[in-house]
This record gives sequence, structure tokens and C-alpha cells, in this order.
Amino acid sequence: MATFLRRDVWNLDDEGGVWHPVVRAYADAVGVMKQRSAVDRDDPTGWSYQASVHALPPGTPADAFQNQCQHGSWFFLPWHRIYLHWFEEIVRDIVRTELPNVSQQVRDTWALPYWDYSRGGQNERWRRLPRAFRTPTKVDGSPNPLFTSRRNTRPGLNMNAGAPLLDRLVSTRALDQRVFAISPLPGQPNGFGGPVTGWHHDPGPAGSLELTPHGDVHTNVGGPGGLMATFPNAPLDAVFWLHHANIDRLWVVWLNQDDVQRRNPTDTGWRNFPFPFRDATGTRVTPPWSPRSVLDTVSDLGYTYEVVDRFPTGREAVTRMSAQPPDKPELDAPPELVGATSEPVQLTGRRAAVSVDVGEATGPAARGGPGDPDQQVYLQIDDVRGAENPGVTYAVFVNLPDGSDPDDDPDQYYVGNVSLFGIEATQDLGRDVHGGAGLSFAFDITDVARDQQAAGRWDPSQLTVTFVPIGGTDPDETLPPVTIGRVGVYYR
Amino acid sequence: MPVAALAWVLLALPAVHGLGPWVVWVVMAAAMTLPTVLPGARRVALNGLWRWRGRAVALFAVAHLAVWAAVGVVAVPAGELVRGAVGPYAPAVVTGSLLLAAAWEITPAKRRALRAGHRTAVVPPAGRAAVAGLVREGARHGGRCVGSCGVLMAGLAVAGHGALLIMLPLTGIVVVQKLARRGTEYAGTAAVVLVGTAALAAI
Repeated sequence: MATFLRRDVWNLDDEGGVWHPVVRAYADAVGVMKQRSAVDRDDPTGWSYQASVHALPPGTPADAFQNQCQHGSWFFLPWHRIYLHWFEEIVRDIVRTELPNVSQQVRDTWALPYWDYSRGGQNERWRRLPRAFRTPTKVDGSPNPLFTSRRNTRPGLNMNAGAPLLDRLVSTRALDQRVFAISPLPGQPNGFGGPVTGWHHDPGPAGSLELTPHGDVHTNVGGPGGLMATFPNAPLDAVFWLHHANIDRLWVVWLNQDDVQRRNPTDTGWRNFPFPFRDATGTRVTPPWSPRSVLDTVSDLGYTYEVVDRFPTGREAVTRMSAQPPDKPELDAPPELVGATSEPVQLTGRRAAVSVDVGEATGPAARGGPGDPDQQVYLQIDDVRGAENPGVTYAVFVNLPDGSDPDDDPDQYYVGNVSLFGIEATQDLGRDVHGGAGLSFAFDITDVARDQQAAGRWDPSQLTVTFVPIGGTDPDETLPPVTIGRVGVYYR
Repeated sequence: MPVAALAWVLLALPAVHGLGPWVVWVVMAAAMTLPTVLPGARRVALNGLWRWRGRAVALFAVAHLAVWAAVGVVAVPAGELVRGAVGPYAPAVVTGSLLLAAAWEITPAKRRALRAGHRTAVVPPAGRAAVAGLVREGARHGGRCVGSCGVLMAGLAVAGHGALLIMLPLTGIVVVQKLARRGTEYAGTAAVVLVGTAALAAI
């Protein structure tokens, strides 16, 4: 099997300018797929159908292959790997057989590029939308299939104007996680790849990578009402596929880290779970592929990435290595709630803070608080609801002093992001969802708590949690509201 | 679960039936629907303070059951009225109400109620706000349970509350739909079971 090389789209830009032959071929192939959908909306190799495999608007009838995307689940990464593979095969087939102005080399070697927005640390360039995606027309003046006006236009985040994603949105702290999946328990983060679930086509407690950078890039490239900001529309923006190629690459990067051995789940419930897909000809894949079918990108699928090592730059270099929960936490010792808010808090695009009264653990976590070397401290944001994605991500800080700039001493207070991709689906009663009444987020704040305790800033009886919109907002602008049901603190 | 099991035992005791039809209705609702409270009760327990977990589960379950008890205030006299008019056991009426329940199973409204019942919001950690929150969420769960299973239970109200043979398949439907991860996928099966039960009731 030939091994195709998925390349960084910015490296292609460096080599061949905006319209590097690989990117131009992608644009032309996307144009062919859009044309197929215009002729027959149900053409399984068309642009609209491929998007519908991910998700359809609520209430839209679906066949067995549509509405299948896996989120808030340990299936998030393998399902999207299979999804990208068959999409890439469709594009490759078009490049080989239907595009007249493509060189033989591109025909033989075309592979889906990826957008590595995280590679540059403080360098803004890589965090800008690749140029070919923000150019309304191609060289010949015809409409560019890679362009859409339905992207973020908010102040400071105007994607088509070349604004960079802010570094907190593309952080690769998720790579620090040491376990892939965790059986979900309140308060506890869900590992790198997501919580142990069954088939799960809904947002919910998610793995670290699914939240940031995955969800944050969706939200902030799309912006309010933008394509990338919702499940059904995201694949209609051609940059979706490059974004997910990068997420898929980060899975490889995670496994390649050599500080601690990382491994994929070995449970048969994960490895053998079948997913229905059509191949590049529109024919049902038989037998259906499961995560086991796609664990090795080279031997199973015939591709590799240009870079599969981590860039230790900028903020990433000082990332904390928090203690990790065990792979299979003991159910008789779940994280114990020690304090929570009583009133909901509403976020409308401005900084907001809530105070949490914290008591002592009296159950399984009854030990010595953050001073205890074995004590873990978690922050849980629960029942986060909203009718639509406001197109903004909120950074979460613990005990951030009033009025202070959250970027002054970020590592003292910053614990993570509230990533709102998929929030509109939490109110959709079109699907079976068990559990909470909205999105939820769990952060391991053990190291922040210990650092603050050492610095005399930790009050064991009270915690202040501050939500700050990343990138700021226009003071005259009111974003679609997001309600946080409860903020809780857990010990373990 | 122990309370639900106890309710089944009580239903088999003639003395309980002597306490009046409304009491029997409440015991029947406990037997049939308390197992469906488990996921929500687990959620409020794990998301609550350790010292509150027992209270949390109890308040959630009692609020759920209170909704069914309130429904019984109307449903029991209505069932008595029907039985008074057509006799203590009218197969045609029972069969008709079970067929109506079978039809309800495959409606979008049933699916929405069932899905809504799978979701439980977190509540404040302690004090009156916690009590209010737990009662609110338990009652909401009970209300959604009535929306999902009310038509089905109406068949039992008409049949009379000693109809254990009808209760068994109906309990199976209620429990599977509420506890299965994709419970709405069993709507067709539930409708078939209800049609079968209706046929048995006719005999």
C-alpha cells in the first residue's frame, strides 16, 4: 500500500503560494462535490451528503449513514478518522479522474492537508486561516469553493480578514493527558480521547482534545451563526476537513510522546464497535469498520503526517503535568463534591465571576485538602445551556483578582476553556441523551490550587471562578446568552 | 429498587387492596416507575454533598412518585367511573385503552417526553435551595414520566389495579425504555407488546 503524506497547509503555502497545486486540486475537487450535490442532493459522494454524514438539522429524515458523528465520547477520534478517510478517498478519486489541469505528481500523491494552528506558540501566522480559504475567487476569477462568508467576523476574530486564533484557543495542553478514556464521573476530567460511552451523537462531557483545540477552533472560526459553529453545518466549510486532519494528527502526536507511555483503549467495547459508512463509490463498507480498523494510519489506512512530534513552544513549554486519575477509577471512591454555587450564572460576552463556598470533605475524599500530596482538586462547570453557539469561548480562571488582566500571570489562575461547540444540540429532544441538561466541563485544578496555596492565595473555604471571553468583545455587542447551571468543586 | 420490589410484594397482598384504590394506584406507580428513577437518583447523589446523598435520592424519588400520586387523584375516580358504567372488568374497554397506548408509543410526542425524562439538571449543594432543587428535578422527572407512560397507565386504571398480568409487560416497557441508552428505538417493540397485551386482555 502506498503511503500518502498529509502535509501542513502553511508549508504548502510557503512552497507554492496561495494556490499550491495540492490546495488548488482540493478546491477544484470540492467544486466537483458541490456540483454533484447541486445535481442530486442525495449523491453520497456529493458535498451536502458528506456533511450530512456528520449531522443533519433536527427533525431531518436520515438514512443509516447520516447523522452519525460521535462527540462527547471515546469514539470521537476513531469515528472522525474513518469519516476523513472516506472523504479523502472521494477527493482523491476526483483529483485522479475528473480534474484536467492537475500534474501527474499531484494525481499520484494527493492527500488531505492539515491546518496546524498550534505549531507556532506565540507566532500568529499559523493561527490565521490558510490564505486559500479566505480568498473569494480563484486565480481565473471563478468562485473559490474553499471560501465562505459564513465565518467569524467579530472584532479581533475576523477570520476572512486574516485575524489569528488566539493562542488559548489552540492550546495543545490536551496532549499532557496520560489516559485515553475514563468512565465518566462528576468532577473528573475525561482523559485525552473522551468518556467511555455507547454510540453518542451528542455533545456532552468530552475528552480534552475534543474541547481544546477541537471545539474552540470550531466555535471561533465559525463565530455567531457561522458554518463551523454547529454540528450539521461545520463540514460545509472546506476548512473543517483540514481542522479535523490536524485533530487526527494530534492523536498520533499524543501516542508518540515518550515521557510517559500512552496507549489506545484495549477494551473490545471500543475496539470492535462498528460504524456504518459508505466508501468512495457510495457503497456500504462491509463489514463495517470499527476503531480497530483504523488504529495505525500507515498500515491500516496508508497515510502519515508531515509532523508527528509535539512542538514544545510558547505556553506549551510550561504546561503543568497534573496528577492523572486512574484509567478505571474505583466507583467506591468517586470525586466528592465539597462546594457549589446555588444560582445559575449567565454569560453574554462579558467577564463574569462567581463565588463558591467550599466545605470539608466528609466522605471518600476526607483527607487534608490541597495540602495533602495525594489530594486532587477538580472544578466542574455543569448544565451549560444556550439556544445557539455565541461564537465565543470563555477562559476559566480560579481566584483571579478583581479587575486584573487575565494574561498578566496566566498560569497562576488559568484552568481551561468552556468550549461551546454543539451547545445548540443540548436542547434538541430529537435524540436520546442521558445525563445532564446541558454541556459540562471538568478541570483538574490540583496544581493551580497547590501553587496558590504556596503563594498564600488559596482560601480553603471559598473559591472565585471567573469567566473571560477569549479575544474580548465589543462593549456594545451582546452575544447570545449562555447559562451555567452550577459551578462545583470536587476533591478526590 | 428495594422500594419498588416491596411495592410488588404489597400489590400481591389482599390487605393492601382493602386500603382503597388510590393507595393501590400509588403502590402500583412505585412498583412500575421507581426503577426508572435510578439514573436520575444516581446523578443527584454523585453530584451532591456526601452528607446529602441519602436525602437527595429520597427527595428525588418521593417527588417523582408524588406526581404519579397526584395523577391518581384524577385517574382513579375516572377508572372507577368507567368500571361502574361497564362492569368491574370490561375486556373491550381495557383492550381499547391498551391499543390507544400502543398508538401513543409511536408518536413524536411520546419520543420527546421519553427523551426529556432522560435529563436531570444539577441542583444547589445544600440547604433549602437543595431541597427545592431536588423536589423540582424529581417532580420534573415524574412529570416527564407521566407524559411518556401516562396513556399506558390509563389502561391499568381502567383495568383495575389488581391486574398483575397486565402490569408485568407494561412494567417491562416502562423500564426498558427509560433505562436503555437509546430507549426510543424500542417504540415499535413496545407497541407490539401492547397490542399483544390488548389481545390477551380481550380474552
